[in-house]
Order: sequence, then C-alpha cells, then structure tokens
Amino acid sequence: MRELAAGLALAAALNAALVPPPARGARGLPAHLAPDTAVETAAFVSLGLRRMEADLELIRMLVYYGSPEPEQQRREEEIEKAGGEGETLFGGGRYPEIFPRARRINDLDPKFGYAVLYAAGALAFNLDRPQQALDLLTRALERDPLNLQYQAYIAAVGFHRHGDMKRALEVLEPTLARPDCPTMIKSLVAFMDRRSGRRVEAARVYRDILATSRDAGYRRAAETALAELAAEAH
Amino acid sequence: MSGFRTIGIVAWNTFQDNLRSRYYLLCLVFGGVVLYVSLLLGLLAADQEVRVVLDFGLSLIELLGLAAAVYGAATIVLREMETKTIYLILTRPVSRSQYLVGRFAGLMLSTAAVMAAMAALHLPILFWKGWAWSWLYPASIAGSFLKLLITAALTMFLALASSSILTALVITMILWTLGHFLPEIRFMIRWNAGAQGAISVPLTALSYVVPDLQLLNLRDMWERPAGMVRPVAYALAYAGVWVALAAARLRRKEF
Repeated sequence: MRELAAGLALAAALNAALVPPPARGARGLPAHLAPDTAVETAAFVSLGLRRMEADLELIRMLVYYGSPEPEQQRREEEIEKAGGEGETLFGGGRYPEIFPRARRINDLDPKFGYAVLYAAGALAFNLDRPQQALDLLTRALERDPLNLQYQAYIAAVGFHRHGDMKRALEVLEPTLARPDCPTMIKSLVAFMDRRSGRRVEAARVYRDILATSRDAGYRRAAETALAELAAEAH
Repeated sequence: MSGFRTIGIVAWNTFQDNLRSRYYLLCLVFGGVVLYVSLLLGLLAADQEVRVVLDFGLSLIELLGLAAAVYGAATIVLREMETKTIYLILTRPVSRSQYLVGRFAGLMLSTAAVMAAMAALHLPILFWKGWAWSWLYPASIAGSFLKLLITAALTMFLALASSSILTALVITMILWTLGHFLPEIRFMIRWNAGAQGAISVPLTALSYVVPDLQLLNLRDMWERPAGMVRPVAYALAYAGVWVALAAARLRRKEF
C-alpha cells in the first residue's frame, strides 16, 4: 500500500506539473452520438482511436451516399423501362442521414475537412438542402477557423442558393487544386462549366480528375466526358 | 560489474528471449494480416484511401505493441517467480532492482522491435499508395511507444502488487481507456462545475492520477502536431516512477 500511495501522489504531481493547459481544456465527447454507433464511438474514443473512428464513419457515409435509396432505385428502374437513362438521378435523392453523419465525423476529428466538404457539396448541390450544408460548414469553421475552404464553400453555397452559378463556380474553382478537395466537387464544377459552355475549363477539371482521383467511377465518367468534349470540339 | 552493465545484460537477454517467443511472431503475422485488411478498407474510402491506410496502420501498430508490452509486463516477473527461475539470476551479483529494471528495459526494447517491424511493413504500403513522407510518422510511432512505456510500467507494478496476472491486465486495460478518456473526464468536471462534489470530486481526483495518454496520442493530432519535449519528459518521468515503485515492491517481496 505504501508504494501505491507514493505512486498516486507522484502521478498527481506529474500530471499537475507536466500536462499543458491545452490538454486540460480539451474538447468534450462528440456532441451527437447516434443510437446505433454510440457504444462503438465511445469505445474508439476511449482507446485513443478518434481518427480511425472518423475514417470508419466516413467510409459508412460514402457507402450510404453511394447506395441507391429504395424509392430512387424504383424510379431508376421505371426510367430504364421507359427507355431513359438511369444516370439522370445520379447523386440525387433524400439521404436524410448525410447531415448527422458528417456532423459526427466533424465532432470526432474537427480537422478532417474532406468529410465536411464532401457532405456539404452533396447537400447543397445534389440534394437541394443548402441550409443544412451551411449549418455544417459554419459549425466546421467554428472548430477550424483557419480552413479557407470552408469559407469558400459557404460563399459558393450562398451564390448557388440565389441562382448565381457563375459566381459559385468562381469561388469553388480555386479550391479544386487543394489535395482534400472531394472528386465529387471537381466533377460537379466540371459539369457546370460544361453546361455553361466553358469547355476548356471543363476539360481541364476532367483531366485533373483523371490524374488525381482514386475513385474509378469518377475517372470513368471523366474519360467519357473528355471524349464527348473532344467530339463536340470537332 | 557496474550497475548499468548488469541491467544491460539482463535487458539484452530479455530482448533475445522475447524475440524467440512464438507470441511475438504471432503478433507480426497478425499485424501483416491486419495491414492487408486496412488496405481493403482504404479502397472503400476512395479519395481518402491514403489517410485510411495511414490511420489504420498506425492504430494497429500501437494496439499490437500494447498487447506485446502489457502481456510481457504482467507475466515477465511473476512467471519467473512461479517457476523459481528468478533464483538463477538473483543468486548472481544482480540486485532485485537491477533485475527488474533490466527485465523492463528488455521488454520495451522487444516492443520497440515489434513496432519497428510493423512500421517496416506499413511504410511500403503507404508509399505504394502515393503517401509523401512526413516526420510526423516516426513522431506518431514514438508517441505510441511512450504510451506503451507508461502502461507497461504500471502493469509491472500492478502485477507485483497484486501477484495476479489477470488483475494486472484488467486494471491496466481500465487505465488505458481512462487515460485516453481524460479530455472527456475533464470536460465532465467542467460541465459539472456547479454541481455538488458527489461527481466532480472523484472525477477530479481520477483526472490527477490517471496517466494522460491523450497527451501522447500524436497519431490523433496529425494536422496539429505538438512538441515532443514535454510528452517525452512526461512519459519518462511517469514510467520511471512506477518502475521504481515496482522495484521497491520486489525488494520487499518474499518468495
């Protein structure tokens, strides 16, 4: 018992002397624990695996957003039966879980910009929920005030909301070169460039997707778009 | 024979024994399999593949190092006491403290070797995936090692104090989780600042004696790297305290 008492006293002295103030005032538990993953999140946090849990949540969010919703699947089948192309619904739908999932990732790792940018892009430009995108970006910016991409996205979502696509593109374009820019956003910008007749800019972004993206789906789509742009040019 | 030389010889023998043990080989094989799994998960993360492979690899290197260090610390002295092989060493001009410090140093050396071997498997995968070298990688591994240093010292003390491997392992795992949960515990203390002492007093006491493992969790601070001097000083001092107390415990132990 003597050794234990001495050890506890010395440990307390060391903690008081050597643990710096930032660690003492550290952030709290993730504010939004989902019922289905609360135990898992708490377990990962208590094992010191915050980043790993944020990664797992990102993978879950990507799989969730990449899987068709039941009603979307039905509509795509109907369009296909009618002889149309299912691709017209790509990225659209409701996906109500995108916002809370992205918020959880931001709680776990406030420096994980990619997850926030991906979700905000999907919410604002694909799912027509700009207010949720703005809420997410504002919250993320509070936790990481030096992230200029958040500010650019907030501006872009605002312009997009008021129908000013040209200015939205102007704000988004400088962010495309950043390593954590989601391919989805690049693809979206290229698509909007193409739709507004800016073929050279669109081709440049598609080539960038081909060169940098690890997503085979987006690379294939970029290849097809580049071929189509080349055909249109002739 | 000087004290340091004696400790060095015991440590080197422990290191060689550990590396020959099947447990360490299993750790390495398991580590290889798990790194392969992290590769598969990385594919699902599309643009963030490199980050996922990096995070999973670093986390798993730490967890496997933890298994090796904690199991070794809990068993290394108690088992020798049970099998009476400890007499073979202590009948030589080796003091109990030198024996214990040597055993601990050898254990940490072999843990470092396992972690280095795992990192040597992990790094080629990262480079293959297009990762650019960063000094934060060895800093993160060093942070993990410092956490293991503290945890193994505590385990060794607990094993000697309780004379039970199971008790030592269970308490160590509780301390490991509490040590990472300290920021949240401090948050709860602040959150309950207005409440009566029923909650905040025991939590505050706990926050002062539990090792702050989150301070050394450089792996989770990749984008905001902290300095190394304070974590190193903290880990060495904290581990030193518990190893010294374990040595004091062993000196008084009758077997």
